[in-house]
Amino acid sequence: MLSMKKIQKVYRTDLIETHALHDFSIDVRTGEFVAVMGRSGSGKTTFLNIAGLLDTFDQGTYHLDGQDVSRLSDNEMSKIRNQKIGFIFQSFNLIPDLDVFDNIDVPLRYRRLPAAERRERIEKAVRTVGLLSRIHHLPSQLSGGQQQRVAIARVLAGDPRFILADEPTGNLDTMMSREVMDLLEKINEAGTTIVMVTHTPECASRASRQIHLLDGEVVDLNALPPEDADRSSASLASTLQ
Amino acid sequence: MEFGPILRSMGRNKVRYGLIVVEVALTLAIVANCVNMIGDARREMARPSGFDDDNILSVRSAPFAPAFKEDGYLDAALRKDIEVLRAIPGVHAVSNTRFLPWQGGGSSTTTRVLGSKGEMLRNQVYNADESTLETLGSRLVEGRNFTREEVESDTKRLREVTNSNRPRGADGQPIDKISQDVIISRAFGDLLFKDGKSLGKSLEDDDGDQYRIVGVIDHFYNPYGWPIHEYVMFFPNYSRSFQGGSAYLLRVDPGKMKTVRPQVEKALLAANAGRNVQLKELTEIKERFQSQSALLVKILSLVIFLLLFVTSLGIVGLTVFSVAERTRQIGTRRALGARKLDILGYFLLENWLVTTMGLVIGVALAYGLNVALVTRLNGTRMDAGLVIIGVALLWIFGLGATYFPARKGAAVAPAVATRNV
Repeated sequence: MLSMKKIQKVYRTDLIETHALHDFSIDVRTGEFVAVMGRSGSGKTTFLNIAGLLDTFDQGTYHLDGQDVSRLSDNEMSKIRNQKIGFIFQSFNLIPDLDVFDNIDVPLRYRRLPAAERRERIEKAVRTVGLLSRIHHLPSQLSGGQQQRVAIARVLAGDPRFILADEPTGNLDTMMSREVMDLLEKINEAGTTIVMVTHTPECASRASRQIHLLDGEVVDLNALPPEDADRSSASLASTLQ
Repeated sequence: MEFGPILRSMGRNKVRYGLIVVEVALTLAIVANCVNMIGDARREMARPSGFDDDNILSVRSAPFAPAFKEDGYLDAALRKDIEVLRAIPGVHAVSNTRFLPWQGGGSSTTTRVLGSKGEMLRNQVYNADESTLETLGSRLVEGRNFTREEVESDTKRLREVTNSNRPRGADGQPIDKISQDVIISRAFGDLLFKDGKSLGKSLEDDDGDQYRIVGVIDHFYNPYGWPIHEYVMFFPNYSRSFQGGSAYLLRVDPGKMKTVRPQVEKALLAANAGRNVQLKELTEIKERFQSQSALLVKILSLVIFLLLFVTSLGIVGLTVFSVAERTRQIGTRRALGARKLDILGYFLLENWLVTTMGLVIGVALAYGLNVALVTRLNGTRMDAGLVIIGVALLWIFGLGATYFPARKGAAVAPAVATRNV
């Protein structure tokens, strides 16, 4: 589903260069649920941005759903984001002036789907996340958990090939986090690939595979000497708290 | 197209968008009416009076010698003045009349068709003598001119009636009615009589005085406060008094103004030194009158420019604010699949909708304001084409003012969506 080989991403300013990803490689199979963990500055967000075609990279290759997406135009990337990728953000990223229906409708309109089909998809998605009675509520009239469920419904309505979730429970309390994770698990069981960036070991444990990032590289904890692995593990754990 | 979501979103931010809607509406209403007024002013400035403007000299005699208080002395002085003026080489015609074209006003009265019980119609009214039409250069198209005899006899008769203070009956109207022959403009005749046949017909005024139309002149245009620029009635009378002095119009032969003018004051003072003499060429009077219109055109043009500038600034401000406020939202839209063009289109559509709402209200306001100007200030009815041009221009201004801030919005990177503020 997702295959990155030797990806390099350098952020440059007049004064410094920051190597956000260095020889970064990863493979995610179709139907997997992968949790990506790492401390602040480890390159998680850069990976997420590149994986979601929100940002470009300097070197390496990236194949998404069998397609080489390394050098696409802005419009082509927009099309893939719209049709193949579903995004779940930590801050929900709902549009405050639009109600639940219109928020879910946003990516469907960019796909130029007919109104009747959009309505059908929206209602089905809202029903799945259990918010049908709130379909004409504004985000400000919903709790955090409900807003994240709306964001998930926005993803579901688009029926993407894979989902990128950026700290999906980062702004939620324990109970709401559990509800959201249950939903993601259910979506994954239905066959959708999910890559989730998280700080929370509990959330990460719901994934079928965990990947750790450190200084822009994937770290295989098992490959490190026991003391290094412990240190890395402790370092990661302290970051994750 | 995101009409529905944008309209619903606007409905949730009524004040922000409402202010721009009101601004656009007021701009259209004021700009359309200003342009209409400019058009009026320009048309009026370009209109011919029907007189020989370039060769007419206005002469005012303001007496101060006590002898002028005597009627007989005044009459003799008037006759002498006309005689002296006519004798100046290069003078084509001389008339004693209070009518002075291009001063932006004059005297008026109201009349209606005798016995019609209809609405009283306002018209300009001036005294004239047997030479007035010749002096003005007006062309008689029907009927006859005044004769010297009737001007003299009417002058005498009118003076008697005026001196008697016109005793009034129980109905409040003067007991002694005046009946005079008059010359009117063709436009006034057409207004009074639908078949355009006015010659020989009679009019009456509020006092029941009657005026029989004996002549019709072709073209008459003298700008006035009311829309009566083309409606005039001349009545036979020599006009002079100690307080008001005497007024003459001189028509000189083409190209003779410079040689005639210096001789006029000299000749009049030589005839009678007990007065002051003021001279003004009609071209000076016309220029002074039109300078007011020209100033009006400049002021209205400035108002239009400022309004369009301020409204454009308002639209730019709204878009800049919208883009700045929605940076994250734009990033999210981009992440969800919006192309740069979709973001640009979103802001252009949003502002087009705001502008259009303002224009819809503005069209109604423009016509409302025009009706008020027509009924209260004698403006002219606004042409629909003007409103259409105004709407098109404001659409262009609105889209132009939105384009650059919207393009900045479209440049927001999709990665902004993952930034946690």
